Amino acid sequence: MTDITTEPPVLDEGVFEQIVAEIFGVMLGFEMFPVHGEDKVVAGLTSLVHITGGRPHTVQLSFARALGDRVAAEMFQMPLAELDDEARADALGELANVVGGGVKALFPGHCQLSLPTVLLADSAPILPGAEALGTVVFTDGADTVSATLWERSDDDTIDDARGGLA
Amino acid sequence: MRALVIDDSRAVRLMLSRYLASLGYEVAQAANGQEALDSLAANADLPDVALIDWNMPVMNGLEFISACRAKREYRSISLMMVTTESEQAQVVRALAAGAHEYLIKPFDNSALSSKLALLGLPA
Repeated sequence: MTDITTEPPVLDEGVFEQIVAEIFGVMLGFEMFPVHGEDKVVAGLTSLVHITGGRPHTVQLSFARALGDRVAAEMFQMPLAELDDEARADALGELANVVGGGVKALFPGHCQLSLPTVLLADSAPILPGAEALGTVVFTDGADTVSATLWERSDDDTIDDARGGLA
Repeated sequence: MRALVIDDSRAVRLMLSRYLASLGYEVAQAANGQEALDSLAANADLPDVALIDWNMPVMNGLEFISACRAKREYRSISLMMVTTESEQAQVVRALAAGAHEYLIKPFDNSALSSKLALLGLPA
């Protein structure tokens, strides 16, 4: 097993914030601002992507419904009234995929991304054995989205002493 | 000019297709590598460029590139991997398999245009 206990933390909250905000800006043209002091997961539409390999993590994006709908409408260039659940799932899943890619890029060694999972009900995902390393909440001035990074224990290369989201 | 956009996300296919169409491309889409191979086999007019996601169900982008490169009749197609996979080792794998260009998500349209220009295509 590779000794990873001496590695410095690969992510801090600022870097995670930057990844998420940049992706909203580049992909959607949405300017998102972090809500400092707020770390409550937003209720609404949730997309998840898992990072597997030496650093098993999960990225969770939870959107206020109104923002999730605006994101999907922007990606599909369609009126809000014409959105359906397939379009919501596709768009929000792709955003999680790209954020997951940004996070994965900071991990040493080879990791893989799962295909995204999207929950369209107002229910929090259950990730057995996972620990939330941090949640960052963003607003565009009207609605919020939270981004949470989970560390999972489903890989025997996990070491509790390793750094994560500080 | 013709382009083939291969991505399991319909939103990504639409976003790429819109931009490519604005550059004058005639654009076809496929949701995975196998669907793209089927499309190539069924159409006499091959695309000039294929934009290929890596992580897709059924057949991923790397498998598609390998399959494409194995067929002499498809060697005129410029292959651009468009993916969240940003590890250097993954870039090397894709290029070794036959990708001509590599674009990491997220990207803006100017980045895509730069890659198309590098391939000598309308940008």
